Amino acid sequence: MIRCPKCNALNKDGSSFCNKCGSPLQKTQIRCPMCGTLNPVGNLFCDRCHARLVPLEKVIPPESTAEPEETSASRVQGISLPTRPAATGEGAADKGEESLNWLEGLLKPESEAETPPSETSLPTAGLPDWIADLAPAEPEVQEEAEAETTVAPAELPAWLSGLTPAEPTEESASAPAIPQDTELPEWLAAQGEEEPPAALSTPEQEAPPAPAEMPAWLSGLTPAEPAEEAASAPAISRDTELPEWLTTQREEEPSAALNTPEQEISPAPAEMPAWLSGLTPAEPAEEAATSALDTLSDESQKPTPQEEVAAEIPAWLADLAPAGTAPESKTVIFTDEETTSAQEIKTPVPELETEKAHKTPAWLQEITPAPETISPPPSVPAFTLEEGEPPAEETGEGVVFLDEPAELAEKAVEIPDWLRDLAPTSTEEAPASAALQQAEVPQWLESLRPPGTGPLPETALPDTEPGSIGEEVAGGLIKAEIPTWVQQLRPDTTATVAAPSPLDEVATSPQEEAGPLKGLQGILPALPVVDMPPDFQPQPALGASSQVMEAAQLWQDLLQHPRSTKRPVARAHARPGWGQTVSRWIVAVLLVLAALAPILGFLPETLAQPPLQAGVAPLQLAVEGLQAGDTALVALEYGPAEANEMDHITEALLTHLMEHGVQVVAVSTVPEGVGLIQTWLDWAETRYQPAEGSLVNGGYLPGESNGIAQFLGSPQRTPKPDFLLVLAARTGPLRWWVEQNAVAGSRALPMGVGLSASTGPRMRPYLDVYGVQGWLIGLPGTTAYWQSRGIRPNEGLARRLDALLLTQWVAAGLLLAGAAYYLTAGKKGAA
Amino acid sequence: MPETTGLIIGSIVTLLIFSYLIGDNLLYRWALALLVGASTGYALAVALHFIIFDWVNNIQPSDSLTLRLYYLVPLLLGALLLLKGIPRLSALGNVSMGFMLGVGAAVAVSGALLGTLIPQMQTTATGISLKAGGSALLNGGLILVGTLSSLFVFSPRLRQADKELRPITLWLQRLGRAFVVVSLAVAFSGALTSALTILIERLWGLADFAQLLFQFLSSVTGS
Repeated sequence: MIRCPKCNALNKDGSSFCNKCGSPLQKTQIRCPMCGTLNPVGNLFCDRCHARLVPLEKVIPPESTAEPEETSASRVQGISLPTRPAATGEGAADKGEESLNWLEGLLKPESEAETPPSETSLPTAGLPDWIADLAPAEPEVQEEAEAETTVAPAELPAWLSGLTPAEPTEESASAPAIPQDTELPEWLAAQGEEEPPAALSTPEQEAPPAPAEMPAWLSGLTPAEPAEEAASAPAISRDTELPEWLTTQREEEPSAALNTPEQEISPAPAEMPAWLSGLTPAEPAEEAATSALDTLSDESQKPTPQEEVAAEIPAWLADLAPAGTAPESKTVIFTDEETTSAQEIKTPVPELETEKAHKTPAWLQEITPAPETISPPPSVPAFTLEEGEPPAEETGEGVVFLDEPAELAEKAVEIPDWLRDLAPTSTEEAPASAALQQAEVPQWLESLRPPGTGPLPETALPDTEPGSIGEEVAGGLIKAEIPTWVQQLRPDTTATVAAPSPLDEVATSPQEEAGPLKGLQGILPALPVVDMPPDFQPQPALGASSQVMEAAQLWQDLLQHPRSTKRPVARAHARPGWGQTVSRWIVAVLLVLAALAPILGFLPETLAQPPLQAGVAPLQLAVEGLQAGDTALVALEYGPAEANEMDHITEALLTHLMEHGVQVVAVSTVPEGVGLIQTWLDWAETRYQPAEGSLVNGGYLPGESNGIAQFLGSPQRTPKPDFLLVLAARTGPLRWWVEQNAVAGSRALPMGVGLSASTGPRMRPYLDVYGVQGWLIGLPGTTAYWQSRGIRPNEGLARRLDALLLTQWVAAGLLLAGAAYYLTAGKKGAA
Repeated sequence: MPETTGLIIGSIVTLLIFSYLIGDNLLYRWALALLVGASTGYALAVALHFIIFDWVNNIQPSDSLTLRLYYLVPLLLGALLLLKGIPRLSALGNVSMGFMLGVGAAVAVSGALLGTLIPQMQTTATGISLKAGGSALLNGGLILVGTLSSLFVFSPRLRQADKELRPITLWLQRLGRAFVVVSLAVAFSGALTSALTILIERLWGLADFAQLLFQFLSSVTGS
């Protein structure tokens, strides 16, 4: 199914236009490789399994200028439904090329695929000062720095090319091949106005950017560089504000390290990625680590197991470890301004060498504020890690003592807003562990409180073991006596026997000795759910009448003593039973015998006498009053299905008209009547041989009442008729003729009607309306019409009338028999 | 010969319809489908011949442009009406539908007023006149009482089950139900008579077919 992008309606596959709104649809051309579902061309993902239909490849546009429609069909863009047409023209091509260039820039060249990623160099040319200040420090070791790999300049986008580390002049820090006519974002172009970045200007540029402009946090990504190149490390002013949790980890010495702009970055292990290689901690000698991520290990030192472990620890974690502290004992101290006492929480602390100076990340160092701007730091935990050892229960092991709040306050720096938001709330909103707040207990719950108990007092968490009852423990809590009802709920811990399983319970339970469940085990006793009081008397419903009570009593008796009656089995199929089949055959046989009796010779004489019909005589007189040459409009409003009955009426009336020399114009508003018209006209012409033009076939008269109105009101269609004869077996055509003839008013035609037996009783009111001269109904009326003319009906008509009489008697008898059966035994049979 | 062919075919189809005596079966269904299909096809052929072809044939080359445009309007409206079968273009057929419904309603309303309501009210009122005689007065009274009581049966306000009816209203409803029952019985009798007439004709046709078949077999066997 194809979904219309305009009205979201579903259309069949292969549709070109929407069936609801008419908008053009894109035909399905893409088959999902996963599930095989056909999807519209504009889909990027499969509608059924959501697999990607379009691979992540750059679609190279053909050299020849293709039609926009073809391009849009071949280049699939957009997302899943509703689809959007692909952009066309050169702008689209340039946009696409530009959008893919930055992707290409992320790809490494084959020549450098095997080179450690840590050897990536990031040029800093053309970068703003705040980024340039974040340039990484020079690593102490220079050998690894030379071995660092640089990203192919031709593949780096502009904004990444400017971030490549400082490289020697002999190294080509070529920028990605970005065409000069590429439209750069404004924010990037403005930055490159002062000093056009080498990457954006020419792709052949090989001069490395000034190392001084390397961002500090990015400088950590660079490999070990010569010391002279570390001058680009920006100095972190003391005005930069550090968060509490970082400043608490600093040693005394790191404060000096914050001022040194130079940082040493030891090269990262070869197996470490570039972004991690920059995380190598600075040497203890070179404390001014202004790189974004300090390295952990020093290649000049042989890595100890701890160092190896530390080397595996990310720098941002290692940097948080304070230097010069006892690695064996560290703890985390919560400092709270409200409580001067520090609450120590023991945590595992990795063992670090004391030699390793705490290296604050460069990006943090540069934001450290001046000492005079230190504000009381919020109470935040300081995390330390110990090498694989669980926290010791005893204090002093794995505990690190942090600075006093005062000292921390001194060292606190101005915290940026984004970091302040991450910090815990103010000291007023102390952790909930500091104090328990008594929640407001609702009244309904208060009512359920057992007697003898009261609301819990507002107390803080006890920091010591509770003492004896009534003894005030630390924090203002008083040990209370456990109520008896709570003690009763205490589980019995003395019993060590395990609870028996349900199967064991069944096996050990006694067997039933009597009843239908004899011999079974595990039968639960039938106990009442609710014990009724001995003197319980159910109160009758208020306002219940005696009838309701009697009905309720009857229901109760029935439920207590159900009737043992057989329920009738529902039949699997709906086939009629033998009774219905027999009755059906009996009725059919009787009717057939009654209908065939006259022709089989069962009746020596005719029995039926046509009943008197009030409209027969006036109709006969009306037709008798027509003169030769008059025109009679005959409306033959019945079809072959009713012809068996209406043909006798038509024959009688048409014969009368032909015998008077009346011209006949026959029409029909029923399509099936057109064939009958021709048949009767041929019969009349063959039998009476009238003058030419005396019999006119008016044909089909469409439009029902509209057509009749037009026909009667159009004098040019036919000669003005003198008499209107309607022969109808249906109610509609008769009503139309009667109504439209009455609408004519003074021009209304004298009307005669011949109806079938089924239409007569229903249209009887119309027969008394002004304009209807006479009428006859069914076979009896036809017989009466012949008799009114003084003509003996033919033998066939008489026999048919006898057969009708007999069948009517049989039908009446069967109806009476059925009524009698229903009155006597019908209710029982129906039940 | 055509009559004989029609007799044979009609008898066979009649027997297929009579096979319903043994239950619903494939032959009975096939006969019904034949009736519906033949009626529909014949009606379509008649409509095409007497409407489309005659209308197109009425356009003469010598006719003026105005006369040709006059013939073109119904053809155009009919073509637009055919678009009602296409959901996307069905809105264009609303013009023809509106024209048809408007004209039809105008003709039908005028005919109902002048041909049904007013004449029948006049006839009913004339029957109630004292001058018409006792039988006519009784006839008119019965017509009046029967009509009003039947309206009580079908009145929605009086058919609410939760509303307590007054005794006179209740009795009028019962009287109306009686008149309705009698009317339905009369209609049923007429339909039964018509059906029996058709049954008689069909059985006599089968009898003629059997006689024809007997003669044919006799001529074949030489007996």
